[in-house]
Amino acid sequence: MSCTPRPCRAAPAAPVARRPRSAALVAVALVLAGLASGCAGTSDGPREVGEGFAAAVADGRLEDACALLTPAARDDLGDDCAASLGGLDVAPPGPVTGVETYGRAALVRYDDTVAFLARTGSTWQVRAADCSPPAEAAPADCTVAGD
Amino acid sequence: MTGTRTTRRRLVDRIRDSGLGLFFGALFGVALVAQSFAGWATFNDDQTSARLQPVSWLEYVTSSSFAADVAENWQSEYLQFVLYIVATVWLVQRGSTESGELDQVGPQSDEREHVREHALPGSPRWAAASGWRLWLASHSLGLVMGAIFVASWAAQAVTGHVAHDEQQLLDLEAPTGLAGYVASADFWNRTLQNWQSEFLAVGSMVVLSIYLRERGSAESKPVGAAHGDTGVEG
Repeated sequence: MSCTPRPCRAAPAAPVARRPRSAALVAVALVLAGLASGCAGTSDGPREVGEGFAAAVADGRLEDACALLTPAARDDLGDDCAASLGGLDVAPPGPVTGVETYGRAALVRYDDTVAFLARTGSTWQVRAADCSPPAEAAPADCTVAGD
Repeated sequence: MTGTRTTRRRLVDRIRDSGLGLFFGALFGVALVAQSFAGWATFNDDQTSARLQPVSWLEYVTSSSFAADVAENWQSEYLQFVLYIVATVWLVQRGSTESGELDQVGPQSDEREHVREHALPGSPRWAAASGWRLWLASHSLGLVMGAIFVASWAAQAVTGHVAHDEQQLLDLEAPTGLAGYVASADFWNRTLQNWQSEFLAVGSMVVLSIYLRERGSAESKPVGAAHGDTGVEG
């Protein structure tokens, strides 16, 4: 017998502890879920900003609408953002019908138009508004765009 | 004092006995940290180009962009290893250190593999088992490497899709979604550019080890070994 001088084990051994392997699999699953859900993200922040922007435009509170824009979008509208926004005659977008969030960018859908949002820290801001529905390979046509 | 010297000696011995793993573990750690800083700088360049605020290092290393960059490299490394492990069961290369003997193709006998009644006193516990335990022990290396490949490729797909669609939105374009991203040129470009380099590296090692030597390396034949000697390592 090839196991002399000590005998080989005759019976199958007790299974090694499964807990460490199961824990590793659970950890991997949680990380994947976290990276996907956390990054493809909750929509509360962008939805609230999208709704706030739509309400401000609808109510004519253009200074409040300007406050929700990114610095670049405000800069593009010049020194008097509210006046410039009024001059662009941005139509009230209506209710938010959907929000998609990917990392630090979000797409807020309204009835006929969309808005693109960006996040700085934990603050969401409107980067481009009154945009045509976007295509995969062509940028949307936006009335307000801080890109 | 003698006890302390003995303890220190044992620690030194342990470190020396694990030198290869510690060396590459340290290199991996340094490279990953360095990658995080280089990637952070690139990400913030893109943020600035898009007229957005730069992000902190912590925000970057917890982003899908960083995760995708890491995962796409990991999946190709583990694919390389699982294919290499499985291919060397069935394929041979005359003269290569990376190959088994030319007449030893396939899973080999129980006696050669020291399993079941041929298990040795120091054999892993399940080598003496039968059924699914022996099967698991017999294929644990390929299974774990394969599982890590699948998990990291899935991570690349999930995090890559988020990073890709984030960029789509920054470009004022429509997101593609996960299914669209996995079918996209971006995903397969990232995947295949990693695969080609891994396969080239393994193939190079298989062939170059036939004719070239590195004295003292476990990956090389002895300097004086013949080119035709197969499966011989220093």
